[in-house]
Amino acid sequence: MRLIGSVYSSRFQHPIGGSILKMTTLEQHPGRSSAHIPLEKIAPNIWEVPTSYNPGMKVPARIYADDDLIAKMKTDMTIQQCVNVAHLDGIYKYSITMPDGHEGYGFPIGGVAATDYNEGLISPGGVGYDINCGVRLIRTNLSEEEVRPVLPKLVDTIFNMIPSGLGSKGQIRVSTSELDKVVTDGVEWAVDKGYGWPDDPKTIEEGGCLESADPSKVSNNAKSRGAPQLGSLGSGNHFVEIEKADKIFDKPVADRFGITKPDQILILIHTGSRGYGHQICSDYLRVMEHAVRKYNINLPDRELAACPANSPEAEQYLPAMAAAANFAWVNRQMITHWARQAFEKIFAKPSDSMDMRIVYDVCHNIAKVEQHKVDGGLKKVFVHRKGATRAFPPGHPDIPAQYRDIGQPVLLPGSMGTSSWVLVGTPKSMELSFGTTAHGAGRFMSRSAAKRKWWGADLKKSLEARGIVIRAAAMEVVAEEAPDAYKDVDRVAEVSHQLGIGTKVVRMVPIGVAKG
Amino acid sequence: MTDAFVEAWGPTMERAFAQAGIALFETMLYTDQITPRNTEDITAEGHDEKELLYNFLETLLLKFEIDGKALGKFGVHVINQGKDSLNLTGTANGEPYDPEKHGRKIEVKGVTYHQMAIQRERDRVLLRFLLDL
Repeated sequence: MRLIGSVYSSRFQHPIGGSILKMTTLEQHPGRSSAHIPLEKIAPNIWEVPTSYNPGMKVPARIYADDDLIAKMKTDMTIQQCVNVAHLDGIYKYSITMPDGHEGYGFPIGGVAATDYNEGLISPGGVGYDINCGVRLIRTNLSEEEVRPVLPKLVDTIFNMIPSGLGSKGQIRVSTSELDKVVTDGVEWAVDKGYGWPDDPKTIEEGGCLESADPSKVSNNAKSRGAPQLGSLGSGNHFVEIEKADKIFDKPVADRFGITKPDQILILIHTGSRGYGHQICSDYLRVMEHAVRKYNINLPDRELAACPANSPEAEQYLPAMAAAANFAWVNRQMITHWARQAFEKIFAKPSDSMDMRIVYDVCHNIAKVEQHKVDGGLKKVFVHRKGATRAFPPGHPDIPAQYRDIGQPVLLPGSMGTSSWVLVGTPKSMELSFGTTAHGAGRFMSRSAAKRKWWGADLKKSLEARGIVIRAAAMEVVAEEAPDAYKDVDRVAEVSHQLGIGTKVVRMVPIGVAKG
Repeated sequence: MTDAFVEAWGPTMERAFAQAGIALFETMLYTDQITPRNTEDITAEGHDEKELLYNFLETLLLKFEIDGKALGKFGVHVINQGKDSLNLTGTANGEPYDPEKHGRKIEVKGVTYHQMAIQRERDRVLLRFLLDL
């Protein structure tokens, strides 16, 4: 095993007992690739592995990517994992991987699978550890010119008000019984408690509450882990960014989203369900491990662990997953509240006078019950989206009333120092991807970038030289999240646009970053 | 997301597990800054060795996440085959987590089975596993 980069390697090395810890991306593990898998390019940006490749495949594996993105996917297990997902019982049309796809656990990140509502399998691995990890965009009526002079103070204030980093705990303490209420009521709970505006839920996916949530299906461990973390950002790739609109591609749609001019200041929040969701995922992976043996389910990878949709195990997992989804929405809601307060403090005026409305809030790790056209008929399915964003077309009833005639807003976060995108859902996404597009930049790190990544302080300097103010709880995280570590988000947005599964509306660039 | 890919080894399975515990905490903080003031009893079980490792590491992660314990020294006393499962008993030493003292690195979301391996070699036991960050 080759050491790529080792932060903490030497401390524990000893001839008879020791450990090596490598911070790495899955792509870097040697000897593993998908290069041997037969791929057909069936149209521009569309690739398929036919079912003839492996007798266990129920449907073809389909990847949406340009030539460069697919070349990167061949260097790791992404395509193999997409093939593995095609083995799931009850899967419809194809197992799909998005342009930002990369190797995950079981499912690839960027994986989409629709399974039959009655006969299909449900896989927590198709949702991920961070249930309802997602993104929220808040607009302002401020311009860059107004914000730039106070930017360092503004980022400091946001960083100080929103707990972040390892072991970060929320500013408020909820008891576990209050937490049950939080996850039952979703964002309405937060609004009732004063953490938001009455209109806020209207522009959040599902209105910020999955009704199916049931905290009695959630373990005490998950509740104990989650309760103190409500209203905190966490670490890793989670952040609050101050963006400016950089380029508007679709003016009529952007106007409707309230993004009307270049240099308009926006706020992007990326976080999820914290320890609550992580523990629910872990608890139910254990349940599914047993279910696989109990129901004699044949899977090519242990981490695809799944249960039949109509089993008692699914009846427990889905309401627990929904509880975690609601936790995440409340979490982003509380962070929204503090971000508004930070702006109020710095600009000495109320946040509503700065028009700080939620443009939209998407979840990109979730399983949803939806209706989709399959073989000419409508089917009720569970759409697993793991690192993939819903992108519903104009007219869809699940889109907020105010956007229903133009399509659902889609948010693609980039990474520090690179752009992020607002796209809009289209009819093509219903045809090609069960109403789904990419979720962000995805991860890709070259070996040289891996070496550079340890220099968090230098990276901070280079970002600040470009006018991006950054505050982070740990410099290791800054280094980990080096922009070079990510697939080019512009390329991902372009593939989505060309396929028509989510078309370009606005490109944003960060000017301030607060992260864990 | 990034991951922490860990290799831990020791002359016995028990010693290798103890090293795995250190690696878990080293991902999150600086274990050499921990004063071993308190001792905790640790138990875990699993239907096979991989599940035992998964459950052992998750038990330790919950000691950090729920009880706020920074643990830096582990003694795994026995791993034995019970009626239906493998059982582990051991201890962990540490003190309450203090970011000022122990530092802040990166949060661990969960333990995974991804590329998990448990190998008995000529003179050691080697564990490989990935932590989701």
